[in-house]
Amino acid sequence: MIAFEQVSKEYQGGYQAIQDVSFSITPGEMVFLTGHSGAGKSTVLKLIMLMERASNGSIAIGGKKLASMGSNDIPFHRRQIGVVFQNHQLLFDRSVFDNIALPLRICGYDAVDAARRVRAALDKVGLLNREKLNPRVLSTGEQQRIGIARAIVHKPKILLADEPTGNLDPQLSAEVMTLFQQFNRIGTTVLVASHDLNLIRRMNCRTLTLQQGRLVDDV
Amino acid sequence: MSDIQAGSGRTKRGAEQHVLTKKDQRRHWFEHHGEVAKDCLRQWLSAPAATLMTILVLAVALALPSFLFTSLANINRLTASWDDENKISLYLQTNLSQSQIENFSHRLLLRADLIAVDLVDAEQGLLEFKQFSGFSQVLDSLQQNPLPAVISVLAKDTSEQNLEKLQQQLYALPEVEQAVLDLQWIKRLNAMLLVLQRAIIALSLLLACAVLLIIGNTIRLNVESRRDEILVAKLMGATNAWVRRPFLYTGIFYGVTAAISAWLIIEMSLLVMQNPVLQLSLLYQSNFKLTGLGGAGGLLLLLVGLSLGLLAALISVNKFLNKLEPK
Repeated sequence: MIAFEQVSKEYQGGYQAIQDVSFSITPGEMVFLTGHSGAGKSTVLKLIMLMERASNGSIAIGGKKLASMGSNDIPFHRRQIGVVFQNHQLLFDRSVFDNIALPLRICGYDAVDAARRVRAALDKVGLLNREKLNPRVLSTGEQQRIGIARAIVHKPKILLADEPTGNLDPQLSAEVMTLFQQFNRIGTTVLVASHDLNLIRRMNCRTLTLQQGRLVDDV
Repeated sequence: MSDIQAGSGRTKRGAEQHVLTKKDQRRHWFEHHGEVAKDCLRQWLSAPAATLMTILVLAVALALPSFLFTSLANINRLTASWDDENKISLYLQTNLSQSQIENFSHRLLLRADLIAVDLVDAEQGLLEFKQFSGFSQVLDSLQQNPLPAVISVLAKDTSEQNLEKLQQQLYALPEVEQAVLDLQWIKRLNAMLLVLQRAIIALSLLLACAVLLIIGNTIRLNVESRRDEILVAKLMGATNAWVRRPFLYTGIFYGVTAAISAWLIIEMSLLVMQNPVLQLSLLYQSNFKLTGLGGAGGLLLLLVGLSLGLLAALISVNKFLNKLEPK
Protein backbone atom coordinates (compact mmCIF):
# COMPACT_ATOMS: atom_id res chain seq x y z
CA MET A 1 0.00 0.00 0.00
CA ILE A 2 2.86 2.36 0.88
CA ALA A 3 6.23 1.69 -0.67
CA PHE A 4 9.33 3.86 -0.19
CA GLU A 5 12.37 3.03 -2.27
CA GLN A 6 15.61 4.79 -1.36
CA VAL A 7 13.77 8.01 -0.76
CA SER A 8 15.62 11.20 0.16
CA LYS A 9 14.27 14.64 0.80
CA GLU A 10 16.47 17.68 0.84
CA TYR A 11 14.80 20.99 1.65
CA GLN A 12 15.86 24.27 0.17
CA GLY A 13 18.97 25.46 1.92
CA GLY A 14 20.46 21.97 1.93
CA TYR A 15 18.74 20.52 5.01
CA GLN A 16 18.56 16.75 4.57
CA ALA A 17 15.29 15.66 6.21
CA ILE A 18 15.39 11.97 5.27
CA GLN A 19 18.00 10.00 3.45
CA ASP A 20 17.83 6.72 1.60
CA VAL A 21 14.68 5.49 3.33
CA SER A 22 13.13 2.25 2.09
CA PHE A 23 10.19 0.39 3.55
CA SER A 24 6.97 -1.19 2.45
CA ILE A 25 3.63 -1.37 4.21
CA THR A 26 1.10 -3.91 2.99
CA PRO A 27 -2.65 -3.16 2.82
CA GLY A 28 -4.39 -3.52 6.16
CA GLU A 29 -1.19 -3.21 8.17
CA MET A 30 -0.83 -0.98 11.22
CA VAL A 31 2.65 0.51 11.57
CA PHE A 32 4.28 3.00 13.93
CA LEU A 33 6.89 5.47 12.83
CA THR A 34 9.09 6.67 15.62
CA GLY A 35 12.21 8.68 16.27
CA HIS A 36 13.26 11.89 17.98
CA SER A 37 11.78 15.13 16.83
CA GLY A 38 13.60 16.17 13.70
CA ALA A 39 14.30 12.57 12.76
CA GLY A 40 12.10 12.91 9.67
CA LYS A 41 8.76 11.42 10.78
CA SER A 42 6.69 14.36 9.57
CA THR A 43 8.61 14.46 6.31
CA VAL A 44 7.66 10.85 5.61
CA LEU A 45 3.99 11.68 6.18
CA LYS A 46 4.22 14.83 4.06
CA LEU A 47 5.78 12.84 1.24
CA ILE A 48 2.93 10.31 1.38
CA MET A 49 0.38 13.16 1.33
CA LEU A 50 2.21 14.80 -1.55
CA MET A 51 2.63 17.96 0.50
CA GLU A 52 6.25 17.58 -0.46
CA ARG A 53 7.92 15.79 -3.33
CA ALA A 54 10.89 13.48 -2.84
CA SER A 55 14.26 14.75 -4.01
CA ASN A 56 15.40 11.22 -4.81
CA GLY A 57 14.02 7.71 -4.89
CA SER A 58 10.45 6.66 -5.58
CA ILE A 59 7.29 6.44 -3.53
CA ALA A 60 4.27 4.39 -4.55
CA ILE A 61 0.91 4.58 -2.82
CA GLY A 62 -1.67 1.93 -3.70
CA GLY A 63 0.54 0.91 -6.60
CA LYS A 64 0.72 4.40 -8.10
CA LYS A 65 3.99 6.26 -8.32
CA LEU A 66 3.73 9.71 -6.76
CA ALA A 67 6.39 11.15 -9.04
CA SER A 68 4.09 10.67 -12.02
CA MET A 69 1.21 12.56 -10.38
CA GLY A 70 0.65 16.11 -11.58
CA SER A 71 -1.07 18.92 -9.72
CA ASN A 72 -4.45 17.76 -10.98
CA ASP A 73 -4.00 14.25 -9.58
CA ILE A 74 -3.02 15.38 -6.08
CA PRO A 75 -6.57 16.06 -4.78
CA PHE A 76 -7.74 12.60 -5.81
CA HIS A 77 -4.65 11.04 -4.30
CA ARG A 78 -5.32 12.81 -1.00
CA ARG A 79 -8.95 11.72 -0.91
CA GLN A 80 -7.90 8.14 -0.25
CA ILE A 81 -5.88 9.22 2.77
CA GLY A 82 -7.22 10.41 6.13
CA VAL A 83 -4.93 12.48 8.30
CA VAL A 84 -4.96 13.13 12.03
CA PHE A 85 -2.82 16.08 13.07
CA GLN A 86 -1.17 16.68 16.39
CA ASN A 87 -2.91 20.02 16.80
CA HIS A 88 -6.10 18.51 15.29
CA GLN A 89 -6.51 21.47 12.83
CA LEU A 90 -10.22 21.84 13.48
CA LEU A 91 -11.95 24.95 12.14
CA PHE A 92 -13.43 27.05 14.91
CA ASP A 93 -15.77 28.99 12.64
CA ARG A 94 -18.17 26.05 12.32
CA SER A 95 -19.80 23.30 14.32
CA VAL A 96 -18.39 19.85 15.02
CA PHE A 97 -20.80 18.47 12.43
CA ASP A 98 -19.59 20.85 9.70
CA ASN A 99 -15.96 20.12 10.55
CA ILE A 100 -16.46 16.43 10.04
CA ALA A 101 -18.61 16.96 6.94
CA LEU A 102 -15.86 18.95 5.20
CA PRO A 103 -14.11 15.98 3.54
CA LEU A 104 -17.48 14.72 2.33
CA ARG A 105 -18.41 18.10 0.89
CA ILE A 106 -15.07 18.19 -0.87
CA CYS A 107 -15.61 14.72 -2.32
CA GLY A 108 -19.15 15.61 -3.36
CA TYR A 109 -21.46 13.46 -1.24
CA ASP A 110 -25.07 14.48 -1.17
CA ALA A 111 -26.28 16.16 2.00
CA VAL A 112 -28.39 13.28 3.31
CA ASP A 113 -25.72 10.66 2.75
CA ALA A 114 -23.10 12.99 4.23
CA ALA A 115 -25.16 13.61 7.38
CA ARG A 116 -25.56 9.87 7.88
CA ARG A 117 -21.83 9.30 7.52
CA VAL A 118 -20.92 12.19 9.81
CA ARG A 119 -23.15 10.76 12.54
CA ALA A 120 -21.69 7.30 12.03
CA ALA A 121 -18.18 8.73 12.43
CA LEU A 122 -19.19 10.72 15.52
CA ASP A 123 -20.81 7.62 16.97
CA LYS A 124 -17.61 5.74 16.41
CA VAL A 125 -15.51 8.20 18.42
CA GLY A 126 -18.25 8.37 21.04
CA LEU A 127 -19.17 12.03 20.60
CA LEU A 128 -22.53 11.78 18.89
CA ASN A 129 -24.11 14.28 21.27
CA ARG A 130 -21.52 16.98 20.43
CA GLU A 131 -22.37 17.54 16.78
CA LYS A 132 -23.96 20.98 17.19
CA LEU A 133 -21.21 22.41 19.43
CA ASN A 134 -18.32 24.53 18.32
CA PRO A 135 -15.10 22.47 18.66
CA ARG A 136 -13.62 25.36 20.65
CA VAL A 137 -15.70 24.42 23.70
CA LEU A 138 -14.59 20.78 23.70
CA SER A 139 -11.74 19.34 25.75
CA THR A 140 -8.40 18.55 24.10
CA GLY A 141 -9.17 14.85 24.10
CA GLU A 142 -12.56 15.43 22.51
CA GLN A 143 -11.06 17.77 19.91
CA GLN A 144 -8.56 15.09 18.99
CA ARG A 145 -11.34 12.55 18.62
CA ILE A 146 -13.28 14.95 16.40
CA GLY A 147 -10.11 15.25 14.32
CA ILE A 148 -10.05 11.47 14.03
CA ALA A 149 -13.73 11.33 13.07
CA ARG A 150 -12.99 13.86 10.33
CA ALA A 151 -10.05 11.80 9.10
CA ILE A 152 -12.06 8.60 8.74
CA VAL A 153 -15.51 9.91 7.77
CA HIS A 154 -14.90 9.36 4.03
CA LYS A 155 -13.52 5.82 4.53
CA PRO A 156 -9.96 6.44 3.44
CA LYS A 157 -7.82 3.46 2.48
CA ILE A 158 -4.94 4.88 4.46
CA LEU A 159 -5.01 6.62 7.82
CA LEU A 160 -2.01 8.76 8.72
CA ALA A 161 -1.54 10.26 12.18
CA ASP A 162 1.16 12.73 13.13
CA GLU A 163 1.77 12.64 16.91
CA PRO A 164 -1.95 12.08 17.56
CA THR A 165 -1.40 11.67 21.30
CA GLY A 166 1.08 14.51 21.71
CA ASN A 167 -1.21 16.62 23.86
CA LEU A 168 -3.11 13.85 25.61
CA ASP A 169 -2.74 12.12 28.99
CA PRO A 170 -1.95 8.36 28.98
CA GLN A 171 -5.55 7.28 29.35
CA LEU A 172 -6.79 9.42 26.44
CA SER A 173 -3.80 8.30 24.39
CA ALA A 174 -4.76 4.70 24.94
CA GLU A 175 -8.33 5.46 23.86
CA VAL A 176 -7.11 7.09 20.66
CA MET A 177 -4.88 4.12 19.91
CA THR A 178 -7.79 1.77 20.45
CA LEU A 179 -9.73 3.75 17.87
CA PHE A 180 -6.90 3.40 15.37
CA GLN A 181 -6.80 -0.32 16.01
CA GLN A 182 -10.52 -0.58 15.29
CA PHE A 183 -10.14 1.17 11.96
CA ASN A 184 -7.23 -1.08 11.18
CA ARG A 185 -9.38 -4.12 11.90
CA ILE A 186 -11.89 -3.12 9.23
CA GLY A 187 -9.10 -2.98 6.67
CA THR A 188 -7.68 0.52 6.83
CA THR A 189 -3.92 0.78 6.52
CA VAL A 190 -2.72 2.84 9.50
CA LEU A 191 0.58 4.67 9.86
CA VAL A 192 1.12 6.52 13.14
CA ALA A 193 4.08 8.81 13.72
CA SER A 194 4.77 9.08 17.43
CA HIS A 195 7.66 9.44 19.84
CA ASP A 196 5.68 7.93 22.74
CA LEU A 197 7.73 4.73 23.04
CA ASN A 198 5.79 3.34 26.00
CA LEU A 199 2.57 3.53 24.10
CA ILE A 200 4.10 1.97 21.00
CA ARG A 201 5.53 -0.91 23.01
CA ARG A 202 2.09 -1.61 24.48
CA MET A 203 0.48 -1.67 21.07
CA ASN A 204 2.76 -4.44 19.86
CA CYS A 205 2.81 -3.36 16.18
CA ARG A 206 5.49 -3.14 13.55
CA THR A 207 7.64 -0.09 14.26
CA LEU A 208 9.87 1.87 11.90
CA THR A 209 12.52 3.91 13.67
CA LEU A 210 14.09 6.95 12.08
CA GLN A 211 17.30 8.51 13.28
CA GLN A 212 18.64 11.68 11.71
CA GLY A 213 16.75 11.01 8.56
CA ARG A 214 17.78 7.39 8.17
CA LEU A 215 15.72 4.29 8.82
CA VAL A 216 17.64 2.44 11.53
CA ASP A 217 15.13 -0.13 12.72
CA ASP A 218 12.14 -2.02 11.34
CA VAL A 219 10.65 -4.51 13.78
CA MET B 1 -18.01 -0.08 23.06
CA SER B 2 -21.28 -1.41 21.75
CA ASP B 3 -21.83 2.05 20.27
CA ILE B 4 -18.61 1.84 18.41
CA GLN B 5 -19.37 -1.60 17.01
CA ALA B 6 -22.78 -0.50 15.87
CA GLY B 7 -21.04 2.46 14.22
CA SER B 8 -18.53 0.32 12.40
CA GLY B 9 -21.34 -1.88 11.09
CA ARG B 10 -22.97 1.15 9.55
CA THR B 11 -19.75 2.48 8.15
CA LYS B 12 -18.98 -0.75 6.37
CA ARG B 13 -22.18 -0.33 4.48
CA GLY B 14 -21.13 3.22 3.78
CA ALA B 15 -17.84 2.09 2.35
CA GLU B 16 -19.63 0.14 -0.36
CA GLN B 17 -21.27 3.32 -1.60
CA HIS B 18 -18.03 5.23 -1.81
CA VAL B 19 -17.86 5.44 -5.60
CA LEU B 20 -19.36 8.62 -7.05
CA THR B 21 -20.94 8.51 -10.48
CA LYS B 22 -20.56 11.21 -13.12
CA LYS B 23 -24.11 12.28 -12.37
CA ASP B 24 -23.27 12.66 -8.68
CA GLN B 25 -20.27 14.74 -9.58
CA ARG B 26 -22.33 17.00 -11.80
CA ARG B 27 -24.97 17.42 -9.12
CA HIS B 28 -22.24 18.17 -6.58
CA TRP B 29 -20.78 20.76 -8.92
CA PHE B 30 -24.10 22.59 -9.18
CA GLU B 31 -24.80 22.23 -5.48
CA HIS B 32 -21.43 23.60 -4.57
CA HIS B 33 -21.96 26.60 -6.83
CA GLY B 34 -25.25 27.31 -5.11
CA GLU B 35 -23.75 26.85 -1.68
CA VAL B 36 -20.82 29.09 -2.46
CA ALA B 37 -23.01 31.83 -3.89
CA LYS B 38 -25.19 31.78 -0.78
CA ASP B 39 -22.11 31.78 1.40
CA CYS B 40 -20.71 34.84 -0.37
CA LEU B 41 -23.96 36.70 0.08
CA ARG B 42 -23.96 35.85 3.77
CA GLN B 43 -20.43 37.18 4.09
CA TRP B 44 -21.28 40.50 2.47
CA LEU B 45 -24.35 40.90 4.58
CA SER B 46 -22.29 40.26 7.67
CA ALA B 47 -20.16 43.33 6.89
CA PRO B 48 -22.50 45.54 4.86
CA ALA B 49 -20.71 48.85 5.50
CA ALA B 50 -17.30 47.59 4.41
CA THR B 51 -18.78 45.85 1.37
CA LEU B 52 -20.71 48.94 0.37
CA MET B 53 -17.65 51.18 0.68
CA THR B 54 -15.60 48.88 -1.53
CA ILE B 55 -18.39 48.71 -4.09
CA LEU B 56 -18.74 52.50 -4.15
CA VAL B 57 -15.03 53.02 -4.70
CA LEU B 58 -15.14 50.50 -7.53
CA ALA B 59 -18.29 52.08 -8.94
CA VAL B 60 -16.65 55.51 -9.12
CA ALA B 61 -13.59 54.01 -10.77
CA LEU B 62 -15.82 52.34 -13.37
CA ALA B 63 -18.23 55.27 -13.77
CA LEU B 64 -15.59 57.88 -14.56
CA PRO B 65 -14.30 56.39 -17.82
CA SER B 66 -17.78 55.22 -18.83
CA PHE B 67 -19.12 58.70 -18.28
CA LEU B 68 -16.33 60.22 -20.36
CA PHE B 69 -16.89 57.68 -23.13
CA THR B 70 -20.61 58.42 -23.10
CA SER B 71 -19.93 62.15 -23.31
CA LEU B 72 -17.50 61.58 -26.15
CA ALA B 73 -20.06 59.45 -27.97
CA ASN B 74 -22.58 62.25 -27.57
CA ILE B 75 -20.16 64.83 -28.95
CA ASN B 76 -19.31 62.54 -31.84
CA ARG B 77 -22.97 62.11 -32.61
CA LEU B 78 -23.40 65.85 -32.55
CA THR B 79 -20.55 66.54 -34.94
CA ALA B 80 -21.56 63.67 -37.20
CA SER B 81 -24.74 65.56 -38.02
CA TRP B 82 -22.55 68.28 -39.46
CA ASP B 83 -21.81 66.32 -42.53
CA ASP B 84 -21.23 69.32 -44.80
CA GLU B 85 -17.52 69.16 -44.77
CA ASN B 86 -17.55 70.34 -48.33
CA LYS B 87 -19.53 73.45 -47.46
CA ILE B 88 -18.19 76.90 -48.24
CA SER B 89 -20.01 79.93 -46.87
CA LEU B 90 -19.82 83.05 -49.04
CA TYR B 91 -20.47 86.28 -47.19
CA LEU B 92 -21.46 88.81 -49.86
CA GLN B 93 -20.62 92.50 -50.04
CA THR B 94 -23.27 94.49 -48.15
CA ASN B 95 -23.62 97.08 -50.92
CA LEU B 96 -25.11 94.63 -53.41
CA SER B 97 -28.73 95.02 -54.36
CA GLN B 98 -31.24 92.20 -54.05
CA SER B 99 -31.31 91.58 -57.79
CA GLN B 100 -27.50 91.55 -57.98
CA ILE B 101 -27.44 88.97 -55.25
CA GLU B 102 -29.98 86.77 -56.95
CA ASN B 103 -28.15 87.15 -60.21
CA PHE B 104 -24.93 86.08 -58.57
CA SER B 105 -26.60 83.13 -56.93
CA HIS B 106 -27.98 82.01 -60.31
CA ARG B 107 -24.58 82.26 -61.88
CA LEU B 108 -23.18 80.04 -59.12
CA LEU B 109 -25.91 77.52 -59.80
CA LEU B 110 -24.62 77.13 -63.32
CA ARG B 111 -21.13 76.19 -62.20
CA ALA B 112 -20.31 72.53 -62.72
CA ASP B 113 -18.08 72.23 -59.66
CA LEU B 114 -20.90 73.05 -57.21
CA ILE B 115 -23.72 70.66 -56.35
CA ALA B 116 -25.90 72.95 -54.25
CA VAL B 117 -26.35 76.65 -53.73
CA ASP B 118 -28.40 77.99 -50.85
CA LEU B 119 -29.09 81.68 -50.54
CA VAL B 120 -29.88 83.19 -47.18
CA ASP B 121 -30.55 86.85 -47.87
CA ALA B 122 -29.89 89.59 -45.35
CA GLU B 123 -33.53 89.89 -44.23
CA GLN B 124 -33.90 86.21 -43.65
CA GLY B 125 -30.59 86.07 -41.84
CA LEU B 126 -31.66 88.88 -39.55
CA LEU B 127 -34.94 87.13 -38.79
CA GLU B 128 -33.21 83.92 -37.84
CA PHE B 129 -30.63 85.72 -35.82
CA LYS B 130 -33.35 87.57 -33.90
CA GLN B 131 -35.20 84.42 -33.20
CA PHE B 132 -32.34 82.37 -31.87
CA SER B 133 -29.83 84.75 -30.45
CA GLY B 134 -31.98 86.57 -27.93
CA PHE B 135 -30.73 89.91 -29.21
CA SER B 136 -34.02 90.81 -30.90
CA GLN B 137 -34.45 94.09 -29.01
CA VAL B 138 -30.94 95.25 -29.73
CA LEU B 139 -31.38 94.35 -33.38
CA ASP B 140 -34.74 96.16 -33.54
CA SER B 141 -33.05 99.34 -32.40
CA LEU B 142 -30.67 99.23 -35.34
CA GLN B 143 -31.72 101.29 -38.30
CA GLN B 144 -29.97 99.20 -40.86
CA ASN B 145 -29.61 95.48 -41.21
CA PRO B 146 -25.95 94.82 -40.33
CA LEU B 147 -25.94 91.30 -41.69
CA PRO B 148 -24.68 90.42 -45.15
CA ALA B 149 -26.46 88.01 -47.42
CA VAL B 150 -24.89 84.57 -47.26
CA ILE B 151 -24.70 81.92 -49.92
CA SER B 152 -23.76 78.39 -48.83
CA VAL B 153 -22.40 76.26 -51.60
CA LEU B 154 -21.55 72.57 -51.55
CA ALA B 155 -18.54 71.56 -53.62
CA LYS B 156 -18.72 68.53 -55.89
CA ASP B 157 -15.15 67.43 -55.36
CA THR B 158 -14.64 67.10 -51.62
CA SER B 159 -10.89 66.62 -51.59
CA GLU B 160 -9.08 69.06 -49.36
CA GLN B 161 -6.95 70.46 -52.17
CA ASN B 162 -9.90 71.15 -54.37
CA LEU B 163 -11.90 72.73 -51.58
CA GLU B 164 -9.09 75.10 -50.80
CA LYS B 165 -8.65 75.95 -54.48
CA LEU B 166 -12.38 76.52 -54.86
CA GLN B 167 -12.44 78.70 -51.77
CA GLN B 168 -9.66 80.86 -53.30
CA GLN B 169 -11.56 81.12 -56.60
CA LEU B 170 -14.82 82.11 -54.94
CA TYR B 171 -13.05 84.57 -52.67
CA ALA B 172 -11.62 86.23 -55.75
CA LEU B 173 -15.11 87.00 -57.12
CA PRO B 174 -16.00 90.68 -56.70
CA GLU B 175 -19.37 90.02 -55.05
CA VAL B 176 -17.77 87.98 -52.29
CA GLU B 177 -16.53 89.71 -49.19
CA GLN B 178 -15.44 86.58 -47.35
CA ALA B 179 -15.35 82.86 -48.28
CA VAL B 180 -15.16 80.51 -45.32
CA LEU B 181 -14.38 76.87 -45.62
CA ASP B 182 -16.28 75.11 -42.80
CA LEU B 183 -13.96 72.15 -43.16
CA GLN B 184 -11.18 73.75 -41.19
CA TRP B 185 -12.76 73.92 -37.80
CA ILE B 186 -14.51 70.58 -38.15
CA LYS B 187 -11.12 69.08 -38.85
CA ARG B 188 -9.69 70.79 -35.82
CA LEU B 189 -12.59 69.61 -33.71
CA ASN B 190 -12.20 66.05 -34.91
CA ALA B 191 -8.48 66.14 -34.16
CA MET B 192 -9.24 67.42 -30.69
CA LEU B 193 -11.82 64.70 -30.17
CA LEU B 194 -9.25 62.11 -31.20
CA VAL B 195 -6.79 63.41 -28.61
CA LEU B 196 -9.56 63.42 -26.04
CA GLN B 197 -10.48 59.86 -26.94
CA ARG B 198 -6.91 58.67 -26.48
CA ALA B 199 -6.73 60.45 -23.13
CA ILE B 200 -9.94 58.75 -22.03
CA ILE B 201 -8.62 55.35 -23.12
CA ALA B 202 -5.43 55.90 -21.12
CA LEU B 203 -7.45 57.00 -18.11
CA SER B 204 -9.74 53.98 -18.50
CA LEU B 205 -6.79 51.60 -18.50
CA LEU B 206 -5.44 53.23 -15.35
CA LEU B 207 -8.79 52.99 -13.63
CA ALA B 208 -9.21 49.38 -14.77
CA CYS B 209 -5.88 48.67 -13.08
CA ALA B 210 -7.18 50.41 -9.97
CA VAL B 211 -10.29 48.21 -10.02
CA LEU B 212 -8.11 45.10 -10.43
CA LEU B 213 -5.93 46.15 -7.51
CA ILE B 214 -8.85 47.01 -5.24
CA ILE B 215 -10.72 43.76 -5.91
CA GLY B 216 -7.47 41.77 -5.87
CA ASN B 217 -6.49 43.19 -2.51
CA THR B 218 -9.95 42.62 -1.04
CA ILE B 219 -9.84 38.99 -2.17
CA ARG B 220 -6.28 38.58 -0.89
CA LEU B 221 -7.41 39.66 2.59
CA ASN B 222 -10.37 37.31 2.22
CA VAL B 223 -8.05 34.43 1.33
CA GLU B 224 -5.73 35.23 4.24
CA SER B 225 -8.63 35.20 6.68
CA ARG B 226 -9.67 31.74 5.46
CA ARG B 227 -6.14 30.42 5.29
CA ASP B 228 -6.65 27.57 7.79
CA GLU B 229 -9.78 26.41 6.04
CA ILE B 230 -8.01 26.34 2.68
CA LEU B 231 -5.01 24.46 4.05
CA VAL B 232 -7.20 21.84 5.71
CA ALA B 233 -9.45 21.50 2.66
CA LYS B 234 -6.44 21.08 0.38
CA LEU B 235 -5.09 18.30 2.58
CA MET B 236 -8.44 16.54 2.38
CA GLY B 237 -8.28 16.51 -1.38
CA ALA B 238 -10.04 19.70 -2.38
CA THR B 239 -9.25 20.62 -5.96
CA ASN B 240 -7.92 24.09 -6.72
CA ALA B 241 -11.17 24.84 -8.53
CA TRP B 242 -13.13 23.98 -5.39
CA VAL B 243 -10.96 26.25 -3.27
CA ARG B 244 -11.07 29.05 -5.83
CA ARG B 245 -14.83 28.99 -6.34
CA PRO B 246 -16.00 31.13 -3.40
CA PHE B 247 -13.36 33.75 -4.14
CA LEU B 248 -14.27 33.89 -7.79
CA TYR B 249 -17.86 34.46 -6.76
CA THR B 250 -16.75 37.28 -4.47
CA GLY B 251 -14.70 38.85 -7.27
CA ILE B 252 -17.56 38.61 -9.74
CA PHE B 253 -19.96 40.00 -7.17
CA TYR B 254 -17.77 43.04 -6.60
CA GLY B 255 -17.26 43.58 -10.32
CA VAL B 256 -20.90 43.21 -11.26
CA THR B 257 -22.39 45.27 -8.42
CA ALA B 258 -19.79 47.97 -9.05
CA ALA B 259 -20.73 47.98 -12.74
CA ILE B 260 -24.44 48.27 -11.92
CA SER B 261 -23.74 51.09 -9.47
CA ALA B 262 -21.56 52.82 -12.08
CA TRP B 263 -24.38 52.50 -14.59
CA LEU B 264 -26.78 54.12 -12.11
CA ILE B 265 -24.34 56.95 -11.45
CA ILE B 266 -23.98 57.65 -15.17
CA GLU B 267 -27.68 57.48 -15.93
CA MET B 268 -28.44 59.83 -13.04
CA SER B 269 -25.78 62.33 -14.10
CA LEU B 270 -27.17 62.31 -17.63
CA LEU B 271 -30.67 62.77 -16.30
CA VAL B 272 -29.52 65.85 -14.42
CA MET B 273 -27.86 67.18 -17.59
CA GLN B 274 -30.72 66.29 -19.93
CA ASN B 275 -32.78 69.47 -19.53
CA PRO B 276 -29.98 72.03 -19.77
CA VAL B 277 -28.65 70.26 -22.85
CA LEU B 278 -32.09 70.26 -24.41
CA GLN B 279 -32.42 74.01 -23.87
CA LEU B 280 -28.98 74.59 -25.28
CA SER B 281 -29.66 72.52 -28.37
CA LEU B 282 -32.97 74.32 -28.93
CA LEU B 283 -31.05 77.57 -29.00
CA TYR B 284 -28.95 76.09 -31.75
CA GLN B 285 -32.03 74.94 -33.68
CA SER B 286 -31.05 71.40 -33.10
CA ASN B 287 -33.09 68.52 -31.80
CA PHE B 288 -30.00 66.99 -30.24
CA LYS B 289 -30.68 64.84 -27.19
CA LEU B 290 -28.25 63.26 -24.76
CA THR B 291 -28.11 59.49 -24.95
CA GLY B 292 -26.97 57.29 -22.08
CA LEU B 293 -24.92 54.13 -22.20
CA GLY B 294 -27.77 52.30 -23.91
CA GLY B 295 -28.23 48.54 -23.90
CA ALA B 296 -24.93 47.67 -25.57
CA GLY B 297 -22.97 50.14 -23.47
CA GLY B 298 -24.56 48.91 -20.27
CA LEU B 299 -23.84 45.32 -21.21
CA LEU B 300 -20.24 46.19 -22.02
CA LEU B 301 -19.84 47.92 -18.67
CA LEU B 302 -21.27 44.85 -16.94
CA LEU B 303 -18.92 42.55 -18.84
CA VAL B 304 -15.92 44.75 -18.05
CA GLY B 305 -16.87 44.75 -14.35
CA LEU B 306 -17.39 41.01 -14.37
CA SER B 307 -14.12 40.24 -16.14
CA LEU B 308 -12.10 42.59 -13.94
CA GLY B 309 -13.60 41.02 -10.81
CA LEU B 310 -12.98 37.50 -12.08
CA LEU B 311 -9.43 38.27 -13.20
CA ALA B 312 -8.53 39.98 -9.92
CA ALA B 313 -9.89 37.05 -7.90
CA LEU B 314 -8.09 34.50 -10.11
CA ILE B 315 -4.76 36.29 -9.72
CA SER B 316 -5.14 36.63 -5.94
CA VAL B 317 -6.21 33.05 -5.22
CA ASN B 318 -3.80 31.45 -7.67
CA LYS B 319 -0.92 33.30 -6.08
CA PHE B 320 -1.88 31.71 -2.77
CA LEU B 321 -2.57 28.25 -4.22
CA ASN B 322 0.73 28.17 -6.08
CA LYS B 323 2.54 28.49 -2.78
CA LEU B 324 0.82 25.29 -1.61
CA GLU B 325 2.02 23.16 -4.53
CA PRO B 326 4.44 20.48 -3.36
CA LYS B 327 8.08 21.05 -4.21
